[in-house]
Amino acid sequence: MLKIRNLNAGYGKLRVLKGVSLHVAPGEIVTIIGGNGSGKSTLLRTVAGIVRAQEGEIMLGGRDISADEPETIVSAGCSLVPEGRLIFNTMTVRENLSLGAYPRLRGDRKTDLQAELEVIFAMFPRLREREYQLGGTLSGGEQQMLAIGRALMARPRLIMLDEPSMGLAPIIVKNIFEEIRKLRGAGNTILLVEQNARAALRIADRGYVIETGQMVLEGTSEELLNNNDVQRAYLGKEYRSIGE
Amino acid sequence: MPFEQLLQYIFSGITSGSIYAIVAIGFNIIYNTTGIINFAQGEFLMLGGMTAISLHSFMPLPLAILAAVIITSAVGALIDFIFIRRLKSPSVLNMVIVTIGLSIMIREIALHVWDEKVRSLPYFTGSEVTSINIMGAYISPQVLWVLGVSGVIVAFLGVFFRFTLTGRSMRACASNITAARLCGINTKNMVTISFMLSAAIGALAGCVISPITQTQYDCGTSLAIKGFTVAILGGLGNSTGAVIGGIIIGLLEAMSISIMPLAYKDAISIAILLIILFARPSGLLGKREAAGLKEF
Repeated sequence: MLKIRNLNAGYGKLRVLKGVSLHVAPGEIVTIIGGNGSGKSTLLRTVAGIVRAQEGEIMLGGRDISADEPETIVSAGCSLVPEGRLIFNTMTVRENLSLGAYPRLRGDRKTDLQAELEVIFAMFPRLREREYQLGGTLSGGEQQMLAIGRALMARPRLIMLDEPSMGLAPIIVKNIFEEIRKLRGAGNTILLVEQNARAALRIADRGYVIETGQMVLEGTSEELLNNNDVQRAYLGKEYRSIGE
Repeated sequence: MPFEQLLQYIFSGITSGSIYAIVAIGFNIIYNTTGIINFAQGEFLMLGGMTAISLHSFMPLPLAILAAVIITSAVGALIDFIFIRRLKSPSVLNMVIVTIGLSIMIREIALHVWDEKVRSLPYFTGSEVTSINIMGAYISPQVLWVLGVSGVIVAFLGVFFRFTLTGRSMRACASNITAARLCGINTKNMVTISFMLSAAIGALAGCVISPITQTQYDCGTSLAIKGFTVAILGGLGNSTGAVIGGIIIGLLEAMSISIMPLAYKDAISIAILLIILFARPSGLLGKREAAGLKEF
């Protein structure tokens, strides 16, 4: 589905990603874990086309998208749920969701928007209750649901989620991750970036560990959860065992 | 002040206020998709008026106005294609300076094309001397045209931004440009559309006011300053704010004539601009927090 080879990217002269390679197979949940400033978000933003790739290739279903504009990449079937959610604050929930379907609405004005909204509302009933409320008035968890719903409206083959748990209460994080797991069940492919490594590895098939713009480790979720370095750096195991 | 006279002032205030509001809305449309103030906005009014006047010599008035609106709108698109879209480093400051340069250039070109004579379109209905008596105040039918056209423009934009896909995507750009791109919206095309749209409504406004205010190669500048004040007063990017701000400034200007010499009329709006910038830079309807995050 997605194959990244030797990717370099950054902002101006600052190089954030230094030769990153990874692949995501259809139907997989793959997670990238790493600390603050390790380049996780930049990686997703580069795939989405918001940050320009300086070197390397990003193959999406056999086509190199590394030089494409974001709108082309969305139409090619790859959507990003950005960090901080970035919903349209001044627009209603309904408008937010329908803009998610923008590329398809442009192509075919007869697209049955209502039916597609129903699918999202069935997934997140809270959004139906808030249908005509402004995006900016939603709670953090609702905004995250809205951001995911908006990305799904594009009918992506690959969904990338950047820190979906950020700033949310644990119970809501649990719900969101449950929904992500269900998304895979519905045949989606997911690339998930998280600081909450434990929660991410629990639902993922495989994972990568990124440090200062380089992949330092990869493996199945099982392997990573049991890896000593990962436990110490990202799962806080030792502190916990001291507590116990 | 007798009631009739007060009414007279109010009418004249609302008339100029609605013009300012349209100029301000033109500013807002472009500001919302690009984050810049297009200082050539006043020139769109001048171009619209001048083109219509020239075309009117060999075609009927409605057709001349329609053609002028289309031509000016094309100029707006051209401006974006040639000067804005290709900027190597499209920072807010660079784009603003480009628009200042453009406004000077358009004015100079207009001077060469049309010379410096003051012209005007004929009154749409009646003539200079026709007037309608409304509760003792005498107003020109052209004033009703101005009010009507302004109302139609505001209503049209309201529908456009709320119910059309293009309008919604433009609002999405205003709300969050990165998110708009991630939704698959081609933000560069939205900028082009915003230039075309504000050029078109600018040209239309330039045509309706031409019989009252006259049109000259440099008449855009003063309108742009008023419109800018109104846009800031209402809160940049906020169209309701622009209408309210326009009417406030128009009324204040009109009333000022009864207590101050006419020459100070323009000073009023500049004074208001300064007061807002010092006291409440976010404008009447703008959000303070949002203003703090803006570059401009």
